[in-house]
Amino acid sequence: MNKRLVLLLAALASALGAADSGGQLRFAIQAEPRTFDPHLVNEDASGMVRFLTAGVLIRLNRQTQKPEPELAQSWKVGQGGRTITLQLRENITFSNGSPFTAEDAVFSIQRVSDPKNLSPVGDSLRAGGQPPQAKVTGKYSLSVRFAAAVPNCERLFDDLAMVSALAPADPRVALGPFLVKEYKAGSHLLLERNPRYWKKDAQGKALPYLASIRVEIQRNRDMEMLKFRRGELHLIQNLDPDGFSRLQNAGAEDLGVSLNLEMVWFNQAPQAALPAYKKAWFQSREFRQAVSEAVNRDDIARIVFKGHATPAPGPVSPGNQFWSLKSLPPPFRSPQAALARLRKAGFSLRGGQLYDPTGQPVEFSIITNAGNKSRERMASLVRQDLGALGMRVNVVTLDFPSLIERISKTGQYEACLLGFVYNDLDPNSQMNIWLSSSGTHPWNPGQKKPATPWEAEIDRLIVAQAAEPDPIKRKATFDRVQQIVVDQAAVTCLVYKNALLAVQPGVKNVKPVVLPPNALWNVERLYLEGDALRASR
Amino acid sequence: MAWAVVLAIVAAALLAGFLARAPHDHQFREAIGERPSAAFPLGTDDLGRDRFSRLLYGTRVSLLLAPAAAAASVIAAALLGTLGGFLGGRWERAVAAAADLTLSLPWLFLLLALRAVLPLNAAPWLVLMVTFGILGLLGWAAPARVVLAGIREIRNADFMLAARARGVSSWRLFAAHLIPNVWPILLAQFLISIPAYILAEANLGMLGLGVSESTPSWGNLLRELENQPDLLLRPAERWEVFVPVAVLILAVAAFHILAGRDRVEVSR
Amino acid sequence: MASLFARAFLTVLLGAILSGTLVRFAPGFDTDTRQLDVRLSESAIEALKAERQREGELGTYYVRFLSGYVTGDLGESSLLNQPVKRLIAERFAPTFTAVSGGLVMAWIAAAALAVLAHFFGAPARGLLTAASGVFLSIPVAVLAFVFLLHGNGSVQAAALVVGCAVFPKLAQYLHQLFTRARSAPHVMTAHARGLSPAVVFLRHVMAPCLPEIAALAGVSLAFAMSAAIPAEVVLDIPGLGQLAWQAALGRDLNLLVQLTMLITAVVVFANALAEWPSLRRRGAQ
Repeated sequence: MNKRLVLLLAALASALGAADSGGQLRFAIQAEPRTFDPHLVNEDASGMVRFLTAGVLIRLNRQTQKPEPELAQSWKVGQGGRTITLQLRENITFSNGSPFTAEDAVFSIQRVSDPKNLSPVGDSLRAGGQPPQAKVTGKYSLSVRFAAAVPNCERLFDDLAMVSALAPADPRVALGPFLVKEYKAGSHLLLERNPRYWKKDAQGKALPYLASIRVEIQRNRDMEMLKFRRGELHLIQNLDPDGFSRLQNAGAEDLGVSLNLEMVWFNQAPQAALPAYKKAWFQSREFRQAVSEAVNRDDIARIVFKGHATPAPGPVSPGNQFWSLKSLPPPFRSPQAALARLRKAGFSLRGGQLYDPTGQPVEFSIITNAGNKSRERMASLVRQDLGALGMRVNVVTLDFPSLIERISKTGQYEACLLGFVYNDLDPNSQMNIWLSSSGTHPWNPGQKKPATPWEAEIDRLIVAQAAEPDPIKRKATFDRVQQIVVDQAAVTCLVYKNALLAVQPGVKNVKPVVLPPNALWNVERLYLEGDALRASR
Repeated sequence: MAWAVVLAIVAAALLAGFLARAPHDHQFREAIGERPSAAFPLGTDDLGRDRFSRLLYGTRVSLLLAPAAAAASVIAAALLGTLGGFLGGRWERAVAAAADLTLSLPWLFLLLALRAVLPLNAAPWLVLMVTFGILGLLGWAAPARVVLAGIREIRNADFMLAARARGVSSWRLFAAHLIPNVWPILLAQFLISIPAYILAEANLGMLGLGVSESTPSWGNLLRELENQPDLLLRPAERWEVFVPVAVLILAVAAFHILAGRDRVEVSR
Repeated sequence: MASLFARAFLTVLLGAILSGTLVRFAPGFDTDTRQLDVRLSESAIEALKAERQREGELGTYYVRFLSGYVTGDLGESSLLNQPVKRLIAERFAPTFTAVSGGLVMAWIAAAALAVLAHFFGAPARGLLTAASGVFLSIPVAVLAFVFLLHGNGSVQAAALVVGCAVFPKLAQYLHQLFTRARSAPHVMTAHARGLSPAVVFLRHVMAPCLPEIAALAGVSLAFAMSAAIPAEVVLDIPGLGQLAWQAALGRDLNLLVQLTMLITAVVVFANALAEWPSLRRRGAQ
């Protein structure tokens, strides 16, 4: 009894000590979080808040890229990925003191998969078009059954926040290291330490170390940089290359190649409202290959990204350690080869202008989103590279909603320069990019049946890998998809951006990684020291 | 002096093709962000394009289009303002209300989405013309108010009353008496509007709207400062980046002086 | 007078309706960035589209919008997921500080220079021309940017930017008013009668200009409001101008309409108030 009291006191003292010593971490985000309900999250800012405040059953270790036990201490996948049974840690409580049990876990799974919530997490749980069946099998155990096999299904739990069945929509009742304390739209968000957070460090000290986190909402990145330099912010995530060179000797770090791909694709939809001869170019593999061979990706990486990008040979970045196709050769560039290829396909170059086999001059527009400096610059470079082949390219920058309308609704565009931002490592999360029937299939969305044999092949492969329990076989199948995308130049992959960030030296335990949330993945173990700590008080 | 500045800038713009050594959009990729040299009098920007050439062609764009936009707005203002003012009563109130309304609507929004409405393969100069044309037409309200106020004064002036008493027809009154007296007001408004449109384009450029990247314009050239803002703290280090801003400020000031002189004459 | 305010009210209402229509038919209204989330199922994307369509039904919207004014409910912002009323309340203070602070600064500086130019002739006139010329020639956004880089992204900096943008127009106009008033015959007579210059200025130059100064006050508010938008956007100040900018970029119909309504109302009523004294005078005559 006494011993317990002593232990309790010691825990309390260390908790207080940690809360006191950790300080307030400050950083900025560019957009307003749209919701604090972890199940309704559908953009990055809210996703970041969810990461900091919500507990999950299984966490993807951002360093090893492998799943690890979190609120579930163990799990077992059965029937080739059709079921998963989870054993929860015992004696964990929500921030309001109520216990966390299998009831809450099952409730959370059911709530997030309710189609009414339009939740991306919920939708990714729906295998075979059906929501999963979650069942309480004991006070601390549950089982989840999917309508179809979901290989690698434990990864789905990384975004699946556990909420209290008694207070589901209350952001103050949570299991994560921090709690939302105050939010002022357009200004800031204050998170405070969850005093009942379950994790302890190796010495038995309660986590998190930080007493609070202040997230400034700062659209202007110059302002963010200025505050960082003055020591008012401790961290800058997603730094751009200009910013990187400005903070070169002041804490900027290049973490290496990220998951994000920048690319150009042509509108290959047969029903597109374009002249027939243009559709013929865009649907011609030779034409797309020639474009791909003419683009100088090294220059893009060197000039636009100041060296902080890697020329992309294929659609999946090597930042995705397991799934990227490593046997792809580095991108091949040769304007002469490109021109020869075009000549073979009947194009001809006269007086610096390229003409197609029917005598039409080759001229098209590339749209990209206005205000994104690196995309505008990439488009400028591509324009000059293609100009060397005699193609006349108009770069048109559109504001984002207008751009989306063109690529996803009206189909009134010729080529588009955008990026893929992958939220997840697993190819299953990319189904809607590669499936020809999907509305977000970039070059020809929503096809009733695949327009080309190679798209039919991609469809077949991507569906086959989704049902394959053996990871090695899955990988081989997905490798084929990547190879086809490259062979057909379905999209012209340009570069993978590097993950850039800046951290003040006073922030301890930072081990930034290329996966989001980059420097915050081990947030419960971060603390401040020296100037950073003094400034945060 | 002001005339000299304007003339020099206009001459530089007209002779752009002659003075510039490189096309304004060619990227010298082995010469990124170079300092001024014999080959590049103002150095190169961060895509390796000749800054001097971009400045000359940008001047051409801004100097051609700002007066065009000013003309569009003043013509629209003249039409609506003189008619409203001359007809008086309900018409005058209607024009005044329409002007108030135009001034209050979120037109910035229209400019934001304008490029999306135009065909994607429209030539850059056409897009520019349309953008400035619309900017100009939307700008009718401010000069129209001035015209209305001016006409109200002229309408009640002694010579108009006398002419009306002599039985001069409405049409003749309008053509022979009103128009010649409104003319100076219109001219002044035109001159005032030119720098206003130069500034409008610059502001739009800073906000990322306006003229698209590969076509240079003054507003566009200002964005370079945005890319390397640290230079603002040490201007001497890379003076060449500031030349476009200096030219812009000089031109706007010169136009203001020209417009100002006329305005004082009008008010006398 | 009643008709003056009735007209102002009608203008505001019409402005709101027109701006709503403008947003509704702008390209990109029908789409939502969320539709690009590759994790969403087809049915969820369809549901998002349907939601957007419902928001875009203008007839229903205007009915809701007008009845909202009766019940005091300004609706929700689809972009920020928050009640418009709360957003406006939260963002009002910075804009108010920037605009009012800027106006006070601009008026003090402009009045001081114009009065100086009145009393001290050529050198002071030169100062006025030079000062107003310089500020008139620098784009507001550039000015804001310079403040930003000198480490001051505060509301005070925004006020200063607004002040710098409004000041030159005020200074020039006041100067012109005084110059014109000074050459009037009765002012000459007063001087000849040996009245002190200060008395002549206050009674015979300033006083007759008061209605025009009042009108100028109304107009300067409009200038200040239009300078506040770029200033807030560049300096990243969470005010109404920045909110309007976000609403436009995000095609947030309701938020943009309500903001337009508010900004129009302030400008139009300020103008009406400014016209009021001169109208009353005209009526009295």
